[in-house]
Amino acid sequence: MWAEGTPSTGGYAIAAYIIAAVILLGYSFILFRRGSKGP
Amino acid sequence: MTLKTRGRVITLLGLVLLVIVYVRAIWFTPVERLQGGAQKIFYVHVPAAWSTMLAFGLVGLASILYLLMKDDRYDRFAAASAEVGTAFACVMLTTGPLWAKPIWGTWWTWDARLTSTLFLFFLFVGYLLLRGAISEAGARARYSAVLGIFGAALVPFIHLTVYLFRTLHPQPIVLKPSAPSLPGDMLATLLFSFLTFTILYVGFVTQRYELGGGDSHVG
Repeated sequence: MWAEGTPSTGGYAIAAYIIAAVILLGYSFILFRRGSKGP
Repeated sequence: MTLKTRGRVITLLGLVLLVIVYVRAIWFTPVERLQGGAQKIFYVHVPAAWSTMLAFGLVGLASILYLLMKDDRYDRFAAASAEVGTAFACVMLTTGPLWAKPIWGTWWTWDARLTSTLFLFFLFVGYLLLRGAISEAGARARYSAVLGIFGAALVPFIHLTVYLFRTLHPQPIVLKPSAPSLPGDMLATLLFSFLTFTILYVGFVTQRYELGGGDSHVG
């Protein structure tokens, strides 16, 4: 529930969550791919 | 189960927990009245900062142990932790400005906390470049251990910058001597996110450790 007067800044949170997910998933994928090629 | 498989399983567990953190933070954690939705960035930004500092702190510890014992496993761990810490630092340094813009009215300010954190990030980018540039294993391990120790020495300083300098950055709300200053629902989400990011750190480092200490380039 949004209290009266609460600023609508949720768009910034969604952007931050997407960027964090892209970085963490991307790095997971990179490690997976490098691991599959062997040391 | 090999170390690589173990690392992948832990990483997968961390990613599943991250989905739960997102669901809990977005739909099951109250909206802060003054900041609005942007406050929820906090549940990603602060744990990412924690994982970054944990990773870089452990680089310093492993580097000291390497210089004392000359055991290659410490060098290998330091290389892994530095790369993983740099990935978490990317999360920290992108989510922070997204919070700052609606709350402070600016994406970035050159205050002590932000500037020293950016410096730490560049220092560890340099660390990774140094490792990639030296082919002789012994020299690479020695030089990067020295740089890793200097980098890790910045970690407690960065934590204290909000007390030592006049800064816009909020003071710690969990990692401080007194009790956490956060309502129960928000604190539970934050602590769950701390756990998730720590598990992700362990999963990433375990996988990266398996790749060895010489190959530090991403891609």
